[in-house]
Amino acid sequence: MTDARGRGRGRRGEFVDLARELTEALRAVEGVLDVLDARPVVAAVRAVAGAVDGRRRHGLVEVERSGRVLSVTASVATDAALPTPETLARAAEVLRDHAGQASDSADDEVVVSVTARVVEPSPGR
Amino acid sequence: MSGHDDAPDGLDPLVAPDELVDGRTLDDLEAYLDRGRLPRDPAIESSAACRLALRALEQVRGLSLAVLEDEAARLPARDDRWIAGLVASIKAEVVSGRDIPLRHPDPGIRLAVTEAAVRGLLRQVGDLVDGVLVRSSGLEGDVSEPGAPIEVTLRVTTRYGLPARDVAQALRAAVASALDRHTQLTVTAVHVLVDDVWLAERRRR
Repeated sequence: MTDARGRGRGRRGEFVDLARELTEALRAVEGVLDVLDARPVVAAVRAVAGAVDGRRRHGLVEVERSGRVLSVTASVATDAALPTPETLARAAEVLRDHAGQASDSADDEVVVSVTARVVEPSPGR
Repeated sequence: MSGHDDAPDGLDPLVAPDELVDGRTLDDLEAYLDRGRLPRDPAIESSAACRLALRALEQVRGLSLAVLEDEAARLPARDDRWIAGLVASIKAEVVSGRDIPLRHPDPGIRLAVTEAAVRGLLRQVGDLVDGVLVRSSGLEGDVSEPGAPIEVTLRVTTRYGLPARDVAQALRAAVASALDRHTQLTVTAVHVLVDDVWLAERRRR
């Protein structure tokens, strides 16, 4: 549960818009080929099925709040032509800055976790 | 809906979980490849394990027809075992495994690349070496501890007639370069085990 300002034990559904914005921001990062689902497999499949059914589409980035800590978790496929550590650093900085701006308090701490789950050649290579 | 309470949409409740790659059989993924990955299946494309499996299947496919035809001519009962072993390796590889951390100066940022992603990378770079097909790979050591010594083992099949020493040298160089570029692992050794050969009457497709 959360209080009126959205603090406390965060739930995934509270950050649908932010998750979607972060997903789009991540897609624009150089070296990120795709954003993968950061959620457990079954939840991800259910969410995708829901989206296909016309229900509201969630972002692939996971956003949760616990007290003053806003946690952002993302999984990506990176381009093998660029060094993955640099790509992930760029991605994390974009997420941190974007989530920080969206946060409702300057006291909030934003913790970002980005994992490369696939490193593959970009299409056409 | 599938009509089965425990099965997410699109998944077969009769298939054992350990036979699946993120809810899909390798046959499903092969069929998806056959269709040119169209129409785009978001559940497959957003799954790291499925994408790694697709990539590996694509790489194996180009070679396996030629290899299997040659091997079938030489030893008729062998093709099933050969391909089954390779498929088992691919299925084992796409499970994410350990997270391999990457450094970042901001303590609020945590970066990692999964062991599965690295194995997929090793398969990619290994298969690009002429006359080599990577059967499996392994990372020995504490990959979750920055700076810990790591040894890499690649088990490969090569084209008959290639000098094993040259193959090993080319593979070591390719692996070292890829790991240096995409991870911060301290690689102390790259072991190459050539455990099979194929006859090279047909050109690689």
